[in-house]
Amino acid sequence: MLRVTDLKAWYGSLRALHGLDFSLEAGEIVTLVGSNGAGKSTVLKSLIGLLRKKSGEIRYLDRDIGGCAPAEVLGMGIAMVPEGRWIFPNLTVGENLRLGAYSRPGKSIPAALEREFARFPVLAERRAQKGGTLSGGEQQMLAISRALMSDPKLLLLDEPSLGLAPQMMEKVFVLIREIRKSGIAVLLVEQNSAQALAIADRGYVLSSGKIAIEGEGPKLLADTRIQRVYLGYRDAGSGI
Amino acid sequence: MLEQQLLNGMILGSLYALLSVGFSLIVGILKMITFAHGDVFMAGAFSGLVALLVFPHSFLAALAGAVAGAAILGAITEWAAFRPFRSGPEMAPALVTIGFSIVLQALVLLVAGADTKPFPFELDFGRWTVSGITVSGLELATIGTALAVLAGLGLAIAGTRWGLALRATAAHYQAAQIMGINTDRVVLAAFVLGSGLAGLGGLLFGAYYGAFYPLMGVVISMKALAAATLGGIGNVGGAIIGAYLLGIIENLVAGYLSANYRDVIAFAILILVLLIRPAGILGRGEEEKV
Repeated sequence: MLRVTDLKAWYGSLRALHGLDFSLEAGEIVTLVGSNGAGKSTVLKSLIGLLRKKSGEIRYLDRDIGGCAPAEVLGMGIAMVPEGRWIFPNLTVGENLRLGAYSRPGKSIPAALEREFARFPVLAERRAQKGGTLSGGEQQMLAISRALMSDPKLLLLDEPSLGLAPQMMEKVFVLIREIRKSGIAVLLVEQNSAQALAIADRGYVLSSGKIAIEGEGPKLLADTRIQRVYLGYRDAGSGI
Repeated sequence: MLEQQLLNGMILGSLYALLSVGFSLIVGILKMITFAHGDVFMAGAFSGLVALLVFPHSFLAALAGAVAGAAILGAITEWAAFRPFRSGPEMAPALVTIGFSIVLQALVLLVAGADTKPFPFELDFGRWTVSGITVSGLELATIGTALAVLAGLGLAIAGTRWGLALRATAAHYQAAQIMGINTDRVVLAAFVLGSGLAGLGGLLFGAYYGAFYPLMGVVISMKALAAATLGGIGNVGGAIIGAYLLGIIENLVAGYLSANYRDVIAFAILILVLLIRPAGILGRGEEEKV
């Protein structure tokens, strides 16, 4: 479904990615893990088209989407939940969700709204409230729900558990599995690598803008050497 | 006396508002300022006069010509001064717009001359005196046109898909992009719309004061920027409120205190308000809105 070959990306003159290869099949959860500054978010920004200064090939459903703007990428069925959520704080929950479906024909929006309100009853309750008044966990739900409003085939999730209470974090990982079950492939970027690898089919460990190791999620999780070297756990194996 | 000053304040406020809304739209979305807005106002007014060469004696043609001319200049401003620097230094567009402003003034000076021109024919829409206040049809038309256009803009921003895209782009540029919004097009629309309103204001200004001249946009655009800041820069509703407040305060000062010190006192009040509410009347500090 998605095949990335020799992806390099720059922020100004600073190279953040040094030639990345990875792939993702339909229906998979694939995770990119690694320490801060390894380039995980840069990968997602390159895929969605926010970062234009890049080279290499990004093939999605047999098309090269490397030169596409975010609107085009979204139109082909890739939606993104960015790090920090980027919800619109002064727009209502309902307006935030409607913006998620901005690229879709207006007629199909009510049905999508119904579906999202069924998935997240708390958002239905707060539909008239400003997005900025929601709690951190609710804002994360809103950000995910907003991305799902576009009916994506592939969902890019950037640090969805960041800054959440442990209970909420648990909820997010359950939700990711449910999303996959509904037929949407997930590319998950996480600092919480233990949780991410536990639910992922496959994982890639990023280090300094390159893929250091790849493998099945649970296997990577079990490899204490990887944890110590690349993920920086002092007490390897027990997670965070 | 008071009623007459309030009426005059409403007229001046309407002219300010047509300019300040453009400032607010542009600053709200790009967080950058244009210094060419007053000259777009001026050049728009002159394009209205040009339209009269083709359709003599049609006030509507003058209005349409002013709006169209200014809208085109707004699009050029965006394309030349802002688009090339979207992710670059924030000062660059401001400097380019200063250059553009000088070019516009020089061009109009060259083509039309430095002398002040009246509106080419008499605009007699009637004149009424109601309980001591005298009001002309042109004055009513100025206030009415401004209020109707601004109300339409407000409704469009609050209730249409385009307005939602505009508010989203102002709130978070990149988030709007990953919603599938063509943010370049939203920015262009804001410039075209804001400039078209400035052109409308320019023609009404020239017709009301009977004076079209190359520097007609300089002082009023600074005041409109002040009005937009007073209302809460980046907030369209605030820009409108600020504009009418400034217009009314100026006329009250002129009527009751001193015509010579109207600007000094009006701006002293403005500074005072900003000391108390730094984000402006409707501004909310961190939050950004259109």
